[in-house]
Amino acid sequence: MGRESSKQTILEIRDLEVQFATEDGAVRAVDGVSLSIGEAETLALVGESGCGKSVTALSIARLVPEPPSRVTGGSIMLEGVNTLAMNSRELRSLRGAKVAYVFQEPGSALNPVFRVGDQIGEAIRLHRDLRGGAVAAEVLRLLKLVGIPAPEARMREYPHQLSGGMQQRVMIAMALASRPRLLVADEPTTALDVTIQAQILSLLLDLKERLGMAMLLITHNLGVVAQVADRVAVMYAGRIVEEAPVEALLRLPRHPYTRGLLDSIPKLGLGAERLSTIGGSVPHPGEMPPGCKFAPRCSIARAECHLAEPALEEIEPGRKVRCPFWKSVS
Amino acid sequence: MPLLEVRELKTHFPIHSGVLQRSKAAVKAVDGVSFQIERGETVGLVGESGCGKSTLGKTLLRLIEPTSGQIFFKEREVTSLSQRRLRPLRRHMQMIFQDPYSSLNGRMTVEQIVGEGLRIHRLVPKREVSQRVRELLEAVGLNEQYARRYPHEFSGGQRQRIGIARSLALQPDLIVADEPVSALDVSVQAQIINLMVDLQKQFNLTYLFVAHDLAVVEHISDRVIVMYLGKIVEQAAVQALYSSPLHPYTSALIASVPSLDPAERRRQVLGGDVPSPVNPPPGCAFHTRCPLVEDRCRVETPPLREVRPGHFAACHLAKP
Repeated sequence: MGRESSKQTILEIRDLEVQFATEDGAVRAVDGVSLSIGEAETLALVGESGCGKSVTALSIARLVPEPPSRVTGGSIMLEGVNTLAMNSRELRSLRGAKVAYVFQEPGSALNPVFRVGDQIGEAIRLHRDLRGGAVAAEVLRLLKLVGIPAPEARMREYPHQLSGGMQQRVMIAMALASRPRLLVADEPTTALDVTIQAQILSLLLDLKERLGMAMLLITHNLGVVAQVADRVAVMYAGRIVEEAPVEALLRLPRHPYTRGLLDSIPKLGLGAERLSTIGGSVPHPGEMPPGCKFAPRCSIARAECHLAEPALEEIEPGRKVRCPFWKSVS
Repeated sequence: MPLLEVRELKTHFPIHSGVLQRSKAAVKAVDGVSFQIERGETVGLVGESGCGKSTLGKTLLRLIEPTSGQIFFKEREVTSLSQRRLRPLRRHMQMIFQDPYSSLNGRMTVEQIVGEGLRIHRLVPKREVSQRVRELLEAVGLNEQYARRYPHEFSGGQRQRIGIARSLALQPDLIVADEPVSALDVSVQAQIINLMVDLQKQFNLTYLFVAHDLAVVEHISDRVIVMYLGKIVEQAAVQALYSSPLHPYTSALIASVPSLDPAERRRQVLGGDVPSPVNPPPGCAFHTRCPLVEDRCRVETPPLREVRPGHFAACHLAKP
């Protein structure tokens, strides 16, 4: 089942469709998303609230509650195995093992009544054959790996005794406990202060180089993307609108939405220059416009954009854009 | 006389413990802060969580009572006023909050929310309230038809506009904006920042803009105050502060902002965490993380001094 072709590819999502049942009927949160991540590669999935980036990421290990959600199409191949076809037993052995997650709020993701060392130890015992003293040694190694000072003392502490940055390091250590093939980091630095964010970003960069792990980074912050990612996929209204290597995307965005996002960020050193904005707001999932989903807010939209949705087209190797007028984006 | 002058302001929160709930220690959230804000100015207040910036903002409006110190607003000393005397003055100092989801009463319509202050302070005759609300909605870029709707029907950006309209209703002189855009998406954030800049010109507003995002603060501020563990560590005109910061903490904050250029990865990173404000380190509170620390920093608390004209820093090593 495509074992050879997935030799390099860790994750391959094809035409993923996820619907949510709401009072107003079913809405599509993710609508035909395809992406792939290779060994030791970091792909950033970027977009604003409600664009479907987190639902896409959580779908890999089927962590979106079903119902209200339902996967209505597509496949998610993790090392050649379709996670969408797994039963609950198979999913349990997948979660935290082949794919591990780090979330935004480390404070609420850790169990407050267990010592952090025991929580990491539990993850090790669940997924690896280590027992007894070997587990404790591995906990120490992991805490050192993620840069926690005085790990011998810290492993005996409870989550509330640690700062937000330290809690996030513990979360990362726990995620690494099973030696996952894919690490999914969902807004890992959003809740942290700027100096702590910088520490965690440089830790992620470090780990990426030392462990050669594939990483899916979910974020709304393009600065974070620039710091960590190799490739970027930009999502809007449940779709990928642009995908490119990180330098290319940030230097020369090709989709009007990406351009708009980049322009609306206040940048250090620019002073009081007026910020450019994207007019309007993201369409409600129940009231999607018929053509290009971005057309109502797009400054270069033409009549045809409102009629038919453009396809995601490859405009050069490794670079895709869902806009036929990408040449007019400057 | 500046619009606002703060002298040696302290806001301490006692920590009670034991059966008798005796106060054993205190969180020194704001610990001896002095500064001024001129009319029409935007002063940015930055620092990391727990530095006391939000407490300071709320203390200025006496939403939190100060422990000691003085606040002069429109030449009146605010800390000694009774609640009754404070009320007429308070209408001139308004606040915009971070979370547009929790700062609006979900059971009130937009018209009731924005009009409440007009009614309480009797700023316009009753029958004109509804007309005035519509004018205010227009000023913040909301359709007047929204007046009869409830907060849950709006997006985050629209709710923040409602919060701004509510504070504008009272024709304030000073608006304390506490992280007004940090809960918003990037594209919406820019809309709200531009709106605040426009309204400032239109209504001659003075802003104290409390935020942790250094790029946003640089964009909107005339002057910037940097706080660390309850104290001001640096204060200067925006350009001077960003282009030649004098305090190592300010430099570290600026360097920590993730660059949009992938070629500039792995900048020098400040180690460690912010220490607890219950037990701040002796001497300079920043010495535990400071890359330039010297012996005297561990014992001697550096005063905030004017190192260059108009550029203040609390660092023994700062040179003109």
